[in-house]
Amino acid sequence: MTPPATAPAPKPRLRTRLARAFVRSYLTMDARSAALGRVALSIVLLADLLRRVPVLRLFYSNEGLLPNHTLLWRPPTQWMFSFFFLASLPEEAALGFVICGLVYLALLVGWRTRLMRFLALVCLISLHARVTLVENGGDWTLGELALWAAFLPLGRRFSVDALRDSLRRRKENTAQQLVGPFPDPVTTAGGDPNRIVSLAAFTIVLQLAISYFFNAAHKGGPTWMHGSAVHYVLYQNRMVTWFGVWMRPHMTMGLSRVLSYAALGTEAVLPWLILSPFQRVWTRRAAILAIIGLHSSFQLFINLGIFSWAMIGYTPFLLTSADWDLFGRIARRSRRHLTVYFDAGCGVCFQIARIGARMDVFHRIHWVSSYEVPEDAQRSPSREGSGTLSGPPNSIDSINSIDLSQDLLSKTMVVVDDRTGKRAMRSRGFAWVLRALPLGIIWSLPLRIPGVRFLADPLYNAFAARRATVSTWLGYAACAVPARSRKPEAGSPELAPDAPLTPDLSAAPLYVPEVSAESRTPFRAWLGRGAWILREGAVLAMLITLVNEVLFINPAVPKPLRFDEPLWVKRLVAYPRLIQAWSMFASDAPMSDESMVVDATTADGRHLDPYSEVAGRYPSPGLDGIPSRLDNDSFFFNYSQRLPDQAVYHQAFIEWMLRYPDRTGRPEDRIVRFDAYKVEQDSPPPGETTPRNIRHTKFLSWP
Amino acid sequence: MLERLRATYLRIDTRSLALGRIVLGLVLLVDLARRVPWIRDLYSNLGMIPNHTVLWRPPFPRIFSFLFMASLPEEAALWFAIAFVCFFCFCVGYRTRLFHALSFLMTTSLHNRVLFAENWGGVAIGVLMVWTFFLPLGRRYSVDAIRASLRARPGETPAELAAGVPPPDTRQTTSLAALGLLLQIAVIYYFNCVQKTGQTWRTGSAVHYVLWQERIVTMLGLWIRQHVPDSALRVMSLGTIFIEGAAPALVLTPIFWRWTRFIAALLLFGLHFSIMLMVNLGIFSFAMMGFEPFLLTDAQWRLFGRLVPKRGRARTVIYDADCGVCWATVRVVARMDAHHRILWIPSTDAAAIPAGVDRALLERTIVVVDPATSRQWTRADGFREIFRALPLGGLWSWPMRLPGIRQLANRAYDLFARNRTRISTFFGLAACGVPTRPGAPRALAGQQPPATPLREWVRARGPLVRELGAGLAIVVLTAEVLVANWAVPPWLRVKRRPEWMVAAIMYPHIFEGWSLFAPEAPLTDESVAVDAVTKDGRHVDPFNQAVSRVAALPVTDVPVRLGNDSFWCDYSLRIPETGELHQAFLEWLLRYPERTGHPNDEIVKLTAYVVEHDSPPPGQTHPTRQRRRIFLHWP
Repeated sequence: MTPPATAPAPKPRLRTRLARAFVRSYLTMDARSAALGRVALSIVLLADLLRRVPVLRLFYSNEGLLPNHTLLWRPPTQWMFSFFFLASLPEEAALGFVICGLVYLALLVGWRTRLMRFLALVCLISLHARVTLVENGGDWTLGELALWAAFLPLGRRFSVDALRDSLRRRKENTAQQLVGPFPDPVTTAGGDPNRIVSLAAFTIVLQLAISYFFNAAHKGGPTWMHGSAVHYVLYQNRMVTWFGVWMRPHMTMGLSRVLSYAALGTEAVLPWLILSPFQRVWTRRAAILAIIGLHSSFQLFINLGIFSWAMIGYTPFLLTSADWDLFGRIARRSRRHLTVYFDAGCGVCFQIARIGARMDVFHRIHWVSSYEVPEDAQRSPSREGSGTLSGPPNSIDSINSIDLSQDLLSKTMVVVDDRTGKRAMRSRGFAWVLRALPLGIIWSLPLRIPGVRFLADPLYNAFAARRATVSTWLGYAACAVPARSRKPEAGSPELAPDAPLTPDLSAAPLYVPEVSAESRTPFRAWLGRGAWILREGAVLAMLITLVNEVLFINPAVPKPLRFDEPLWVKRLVAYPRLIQAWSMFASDAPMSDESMVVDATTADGRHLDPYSEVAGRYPSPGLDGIPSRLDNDSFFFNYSQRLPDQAVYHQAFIEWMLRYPDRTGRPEDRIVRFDAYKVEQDSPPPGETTPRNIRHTKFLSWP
Repeated sequence: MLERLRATYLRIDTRSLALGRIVLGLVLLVDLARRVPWIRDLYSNLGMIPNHTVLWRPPFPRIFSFLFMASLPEEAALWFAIAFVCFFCFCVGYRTRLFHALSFLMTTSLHNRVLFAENWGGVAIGVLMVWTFFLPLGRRYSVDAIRASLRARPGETPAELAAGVPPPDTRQTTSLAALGLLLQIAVIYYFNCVQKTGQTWRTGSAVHYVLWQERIVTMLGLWIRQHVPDSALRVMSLGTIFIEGAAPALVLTPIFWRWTRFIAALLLFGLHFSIMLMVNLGIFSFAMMGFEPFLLTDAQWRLFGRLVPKRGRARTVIYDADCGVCWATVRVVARMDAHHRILWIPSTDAAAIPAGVDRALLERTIVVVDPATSRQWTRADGFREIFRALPLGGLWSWPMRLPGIRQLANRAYDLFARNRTRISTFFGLAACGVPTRPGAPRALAGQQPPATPLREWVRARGPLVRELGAGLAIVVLTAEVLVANWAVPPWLRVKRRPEWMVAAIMYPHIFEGWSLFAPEAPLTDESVAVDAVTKDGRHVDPFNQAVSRVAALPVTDVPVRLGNDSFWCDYSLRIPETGELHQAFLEWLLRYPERTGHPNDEIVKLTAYVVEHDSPPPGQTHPTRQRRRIFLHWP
């Protein structure tokens, strides 16, 4: 019988095909990329927080250079938000830092990600908006990364949330069940759990492309045209690194030209690589490599604060599904496979195994319950002969057969390398398990450190001896004591006190009935759709704001395209610091350098410079030029540059200066008068090494 | 003996706690509402107390307020909206503990932002919130209590409901915080009494002089000072002293305490209500009334229970049990029926339906029957009758008696009734044979995870931690009492406290120096006037135009009944001597044309001065010794 003839599906119209292609190319992101992006973003956020800790008192308290009342009195921008304005005392600011740190850590591991990505944005905006006088492009870049990422489901993969969700939805009862595939994350719309479709996926790459496009377009000055830009940048004594100083004598005009053109060319080509609709996999791979190369080089030569790290933080979002497939293929090449013998009757051990099984995405670990091993069994390694066990219990046994006696298994887990037949126990076994997980070298590192290892073993033994108690304490099954389940489930045996040690739990239901997209109530589905519309609407509003701001603020935009921003756009730009003025070292690399110096006289007649003591490497650089590597952090770099012209902040500076004896604890350090100077010098042109035209201007005197 | 002491001083009725929560929540909401008109002038940098000025010269070294983040009026308004949500949720008892903490943060923020214009009402709210934080305010008469009751019977059937809802949590609470609360009330009135040592209180002229405070006197106060004889005012003064003196004894007495506390509550309510009628002390009087519910004991609740009329409002409700939303509504309302006045009958129970009820009608509407008269109500009218049967039913049902609202409600009811099956399935609730969806709300579907031993262990330590907190609060606040009140004998006074104790008092602003109108009622009165000259030569007083009832110029004496809110009473008292706020005051005055919208109102010069006079002694009606002094001049 021939099957009934079906009419071929009509070919979609061109517009539909184009729309689909656009969605596929620009609005789609892999959930694993978003998750890796979350990790990268969190690390950059933590780095940003840590670099602010040393300047907490100086820039975040009223004992410092920028008191909250001064900034609120003459705010650098009319619309700003920062919860650090609440902090007047250093300990209050420190509390704010602790809160930020906890939020960033929670985001890093993906715990309550939906909430944390929003809180992280609030924390970041607060940290930056409190010190707008000293912020730079790196702060904007990081803020924008956090903003766009906040609209993406960052916790769908590689997160505590995903792990908890999987644990909740599939409840294994026996070691045999600890094999994948484990439940995929539930998505609102159903479908491929690794596929994210959102306008935010587009805006995050658009943001990156815009920043490179205008950074390249604005670099039209002679230093970039002639290729001397890198040479001049290396003579920025405030921010050059030791490597940059070392490079100065080797920086010939030819090398400077190569590096300058390379930087310019990379910036110019990056927008096309990022946004290319063709060969997307390869262009994005090239973009990732180019971004990492470009910003690593910047970081090597000059200290731009968090800028380089923030730009590198965008790269995980450029990874495509093809990249993840490639990573998977590479990772599966590893021939290391382990068999873990553990006490499945210990509730906590079993829960750890459940977690481990889910983290073992490449299926390298085989989990075996110790109850399944016959009394006094010896295991024959898969590829080697047999023998008897000897040697200390915590060493790696390389002999041919493995002792798996119940006596041993009652004391410790035993991890066996299937290929070599070696075994490890206690903390060493744990280290092996961790090593077998993706990026295992990182997780297992702490347990490989000798001192930690010796500490970890007694801890393991202490736990192993009490594992039944700990398990029942946490409400898990332990030996003959059943788990405290929500309610007796059909098929799940209630263990009597005289029940055997190896209860048959295999009959218990494996999958917990889940609230799938279909089984949700219409109300919940409606709420889900509403939330989706709200989220995408918010992204769209921010995208419009982004485009408005880009057209308004960048000089490279042709005049007919430039127009004044409406008030609501100004607000939406100002509050989250969505500033789009991209002109780093543009239109020209700086051909002069400047710094700030103070000549203060103490009550006992000494001359000192309290500002330089905290700002750089030289406690008293003087007025005869800028030392070759001041080593200012970006905060002091910007503060020194901006303070001379910002008279409204001079009073705060004076008060900070006069509190010098409070900081040193010596009454004789009382300052009786001081002058503050701006020191400038022209950087040496290519071929020379000595700065010229050293000059200074007094901008503040006291009394 | 110990048990008796515990019952007397450490135990508190959960219904008193619940009533206290509701009253405290209302106090917070009223306090918020009275600040709304002043968002711009008090809480933004367009006003008289900009955030940067307060942070530049803070009244205390440790000060906390979320409102410091707000510079613009719209930013401050956003914080007000957040405060409203917190206060409302606290008042109705939704996630009570969480919203208690958040409400404490928000009310502290509201007060601390404008400490310069605050009086002791904020402090009274603060200490009340501290003590009650350690008590289970949400165990009765709250959303939390209803949710707990719903969870306690997940698979409830109409028959079970008809037999009655699960009994409420009637456990009495035993806590050190209950003692702290009693001590707090005693301390407030004890020191307010013993520190009133001045002549005006001894001779009984204090109330007379208070009524001559033109900034705060109310219309009734004005009438009293004109028409009530001095002897009556003297009785009021001595009565005030007497009540304040008696309150600590009535509150702390170990005998007949169930009724002495009730008497104290009545006396104190009367005292503060009278003060509120005569003078405007802002939120102070309301805040002090907020303490009173916590003085009610089980004896009063039993009395109230006996006084509640049961028969007159008894109702039989016939409802559609097949409609999921109707059933869920019935389950909730049944738990609000504290006096068990309503008998719930599902429309499917033909035998139980009272005679005379039309079965066809039941397809379309709920039917409420008065069993005494057999009168019937349907649709929204039926709902009104249900509301009327609930405690304080008159309050909930009166909006539905209003003509326009009633018609609207009936139409809304009909619309709902026609679509009730669809609405029920929309929410995942059972409807006419369609079962409950697996994703139905948990509160209705049930299933409470049992506690693990660890969780039980942690939960068992909860009361200990709570009591430690309450004990710590007693220590910290006792030290503060011994520091802040000059009536404390020198040998009892605390000379030095650890810095953390000072911080614990300062951040939430819970000072314990209680001396309202003490040691002396004010014998003089004063106000602030501004004589500003506009571009076109007119003389205006922008300050009094904004904050007072009268703003006529020139001012030679304190005007009669200025009608200042408490903020401006305190502001005008303090601004002349507070130089650091003069610049902000001046800038606010110069923004006058922005507020009026008239460019001609631009101010070209101004003089701000204090007008003072001596209040007339008893028997006289005219102030004497009028005087004025300039404290600010521009340019």
